[in-house]
Amino acid sequence: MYKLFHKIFGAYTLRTDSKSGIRLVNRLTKEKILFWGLKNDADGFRIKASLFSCEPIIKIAAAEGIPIEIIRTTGVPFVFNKYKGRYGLIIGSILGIFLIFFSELFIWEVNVTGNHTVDSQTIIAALEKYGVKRGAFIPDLNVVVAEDDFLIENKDISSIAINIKGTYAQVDVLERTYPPEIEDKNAYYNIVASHDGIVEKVEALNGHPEVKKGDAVVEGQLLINAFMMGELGTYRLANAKGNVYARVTEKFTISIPLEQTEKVFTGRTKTVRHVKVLGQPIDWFFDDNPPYEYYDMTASQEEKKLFGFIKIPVEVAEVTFIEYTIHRYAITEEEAKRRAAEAFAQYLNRLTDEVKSYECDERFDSQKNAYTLTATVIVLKNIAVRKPIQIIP
Amino acid sequence: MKYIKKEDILEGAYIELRGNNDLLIEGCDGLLGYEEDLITLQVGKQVLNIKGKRLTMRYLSEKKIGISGYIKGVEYV
Repeated sequence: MYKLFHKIFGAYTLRTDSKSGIRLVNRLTKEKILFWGLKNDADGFRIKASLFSCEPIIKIAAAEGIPIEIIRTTGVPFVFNKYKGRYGLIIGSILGIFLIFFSELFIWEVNVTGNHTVDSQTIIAALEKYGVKRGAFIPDLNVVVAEDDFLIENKDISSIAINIKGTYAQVDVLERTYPPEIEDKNAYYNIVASHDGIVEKVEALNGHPEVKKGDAVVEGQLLINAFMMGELGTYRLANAKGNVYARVTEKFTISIPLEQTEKVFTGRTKTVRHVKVLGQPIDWFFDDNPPYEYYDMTASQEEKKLFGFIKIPVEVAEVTFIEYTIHRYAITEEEAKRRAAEAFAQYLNRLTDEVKSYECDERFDSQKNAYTLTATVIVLKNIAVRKPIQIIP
Repeated sequence: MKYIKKEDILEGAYIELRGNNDLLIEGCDGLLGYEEDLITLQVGKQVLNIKGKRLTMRYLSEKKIGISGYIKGVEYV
């Protein structure tokens, strides 16, 4: 242990000849002067002395007429002395050590585990409100309060544990499992129409059907009645269930102007980078105003790693502006017609209900200089929706 | 009453040898020679040789000395 102590705080290696060395050692022992590491070989008789005992040893050697020299110095004081003129180096070293210890007081990364449906970024963004974020000052963080506040505000999470391990905030969550919707068997419902339409088919599973095939119904109209006539001529209340399919009219309109515009990329781009250290942005010298009149923008964010694997609390966000110009050009009526038909075909593909028929009306609007396509689409749709019956006690 | 002489109590060195690696000598009066294979000590009126290999002095005080290494022999000269 003392060797380490002297290695850090400074030690001298002194040398003399063998004969004189023995005499010196005996004298030092008598005077109770600290020394250690005796060696006697081809390089001479060597002893080690501390920062404080070296001077007395040299004095005693001088008094005894023993030639002695300092051949080596070890320890931090000598390193500092070597670089004593280089204040920048010393200040930089001290600053570096200080920064290392200081940065240990902040959270470098927040890591979320245990989530399956709720996105990690959502949880991290929510935690920022309660102070758990990159760059947070650890001594000021009240983890217990943050956990409680988070649970109160975020109903999708049933349990959360935040552990600060060094500079990492490890967040373990347990997502809430919602019970399945239980049908209230004591509640009563009618089946009513969700859209206007012509009834095609009625499937009454429970309750009394009030409409039949061919009937025209309006939105909200009663389709299957919860009240049913019993065998003894009395009414009983049931939970109406069933499907009612009707032909429903959907409308589609699209207008294609003959004067079109398109983006033409010029090939010029500008990339702006923002650096964040411990969550704090450092962009004093960056001008992130868009440099172009018309532009598209892409953004990306990367967490930097030292030597490719050591995580550090530095993020670099890149924003790239891609310039384009607006190019105006004219299309023919035929081309406008083709585009309108294409848009209508895509609309039909998106429909989930069975398409029974459709009728298109195409016309050219000279005032707007545009080609307009209007279509009426008849679809077969299940228009049955449950509506609860209010029972007045 | 029997009297014990002071010289009888204090005379002679106390040598403790543990295995062949550690040697402790109490009552040593000084170092006469120091080599890697031979350390010579003044013990009272006698001279003590410690022979071996890679001998090093663990500590040295006014009356005590600790030696470690591969000790082959301890002999009075």
